Amino acid sequence: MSGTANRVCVVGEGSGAMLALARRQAPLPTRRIVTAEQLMAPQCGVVLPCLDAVPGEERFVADDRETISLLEILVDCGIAAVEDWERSKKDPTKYLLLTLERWIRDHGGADIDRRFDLDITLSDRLVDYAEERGAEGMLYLIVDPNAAAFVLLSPVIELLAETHLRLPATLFNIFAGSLNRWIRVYDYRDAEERVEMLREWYEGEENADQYELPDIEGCTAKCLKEKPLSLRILNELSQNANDEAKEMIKGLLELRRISKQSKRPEFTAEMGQQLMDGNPPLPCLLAAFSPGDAVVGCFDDESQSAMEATPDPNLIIPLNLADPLRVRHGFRTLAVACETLAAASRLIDLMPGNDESVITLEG
Amino acid sequence: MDIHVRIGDNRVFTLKQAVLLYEEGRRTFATLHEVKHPPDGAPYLYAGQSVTTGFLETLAAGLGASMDAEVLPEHVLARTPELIAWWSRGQARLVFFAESNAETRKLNGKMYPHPPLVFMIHGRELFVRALAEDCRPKADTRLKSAPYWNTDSHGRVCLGSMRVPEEISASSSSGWETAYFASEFTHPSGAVRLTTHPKGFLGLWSSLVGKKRNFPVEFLADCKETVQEFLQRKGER
Repeated sequence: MSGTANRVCVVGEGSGAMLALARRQAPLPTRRIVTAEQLMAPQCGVVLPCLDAVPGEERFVADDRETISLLEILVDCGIAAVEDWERSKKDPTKYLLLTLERWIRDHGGADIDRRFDLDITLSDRLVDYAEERGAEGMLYLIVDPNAAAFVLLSPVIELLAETHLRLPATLFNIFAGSLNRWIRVYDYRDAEERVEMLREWYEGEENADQYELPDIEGCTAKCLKEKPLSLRILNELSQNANDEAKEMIKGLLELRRISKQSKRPEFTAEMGQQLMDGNPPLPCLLAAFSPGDAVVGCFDDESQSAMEATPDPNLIIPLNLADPLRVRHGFRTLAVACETLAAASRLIDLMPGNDESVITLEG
Repeated sequence: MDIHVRIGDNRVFTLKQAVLLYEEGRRTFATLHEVKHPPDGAPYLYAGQSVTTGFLETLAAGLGASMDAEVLPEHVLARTPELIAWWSRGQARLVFFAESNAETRKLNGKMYPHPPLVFMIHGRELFVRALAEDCRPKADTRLKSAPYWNTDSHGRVCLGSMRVPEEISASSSSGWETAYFASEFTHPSGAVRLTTHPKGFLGLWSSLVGKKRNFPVEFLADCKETVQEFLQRKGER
């Protein structure tokens, strides 16, 4: 709208109008002379409605005993920060949420968010909508994906093969192995299993040879079948290789070191009882050789039925409120899992061809 | 990364989106806006986008008002987005009773003849009634109480730890039946007349141990409702 039109057609006079044009503070012009300001294109005057009086949160509180017990432990061991109590407006559930946010932020949250789309839940049950909860005084930290992150392997394989033919297999083994300690990574081995299963299904049918199966072997880099390098040789290469490979190897060694700082909690019979016969965990990361290769095809195919039964969580960290030391250890375990994911994120940043899989957040 | 705390019934609900309605006479349109939460200051609405029919369909699907098209087998009696009902012929089935006393211990894990049955799933609740005749019932067919424990006067089954299928569809009906009979019958559910057998519930099943055919339908108790009423009441009186 031009400046002159704006004079005869004032938009957004009503108090509740959306996208009202901002009122401009200018001296009133005489009737016949148009000011320079009115001849210029107006500034971007779109005003986003502000929700001053609208609560940004509503809280439903029923029973705070377990929340308070956990917070007492977290305050005692220095995990919960005093300033978050004020920020929470003295609401225990909100305080716990802020504590968890702070803990994850302090252990690589920003790096994780750049590559992974995850849900971290502190709950008294493993299946959100299930009536059956865990034992009294038992809570769980649960990690699961909202969507699978993506890592492209071919460019980095080509790059590292120039340094040492066995380096790509070493990278893949350590990268996938370190992550698989904590979350599920879907890679060419999962795709091979899928193809094998499809082959068995089709074998019993008539004209079995007419079915076309994804060619996983064809898209898999041959050098991944090489024997991985020893840690000693890898350390040597981290000093002697070219700059790009050197950075990559250092990142890989860091990922390996961090992922081994704690052990993934064991899956207990009690957890199994709550989950019953679930599907396998949803993959947090898809590792493929190219954006539309056979591994991606198998992943897409499997994802069609991934939710037929409730998938098991990727990571479950039990917190027994009767044992403050174990609660503290549980939070430490979560920290290691987060730092592992953050280290993986930083390593993917170094891998060529992975710029497009960065998650950008609005606002 | 999304972080949640879900302990007991405590929840923190965060304002995420807002729908704004615009009206001019009888014409209306709606826009959907993200809500942004600046670190210091009041939340505000981000630029909106028109609400499409697709959005409303997604919303309706989230409320359970949507279902995939499926070919209904002959045994299905009724199907709506929230309900499915089917009948099954009288047949021999294995029955499990909780071994809470000597009598139920004797009955547990044996084959028995069963009457024809009508099953209904509404939401995630299972209902069951019995039929006096072994043929597809009509809307006005009178129903009988299912002669089973864990089934209340409305026909509602206490699912307890029963492992029922995730899916509710015509193809999963056999899975629900299997789940029903694979779980233990443990106790009567409230005040309900399960049978007219002179020796009561346990007397009825004791007399049927080892028999494979011909459930004595004369011992089925009338539940004073027709198939149509059963489907419409959905367990409510």
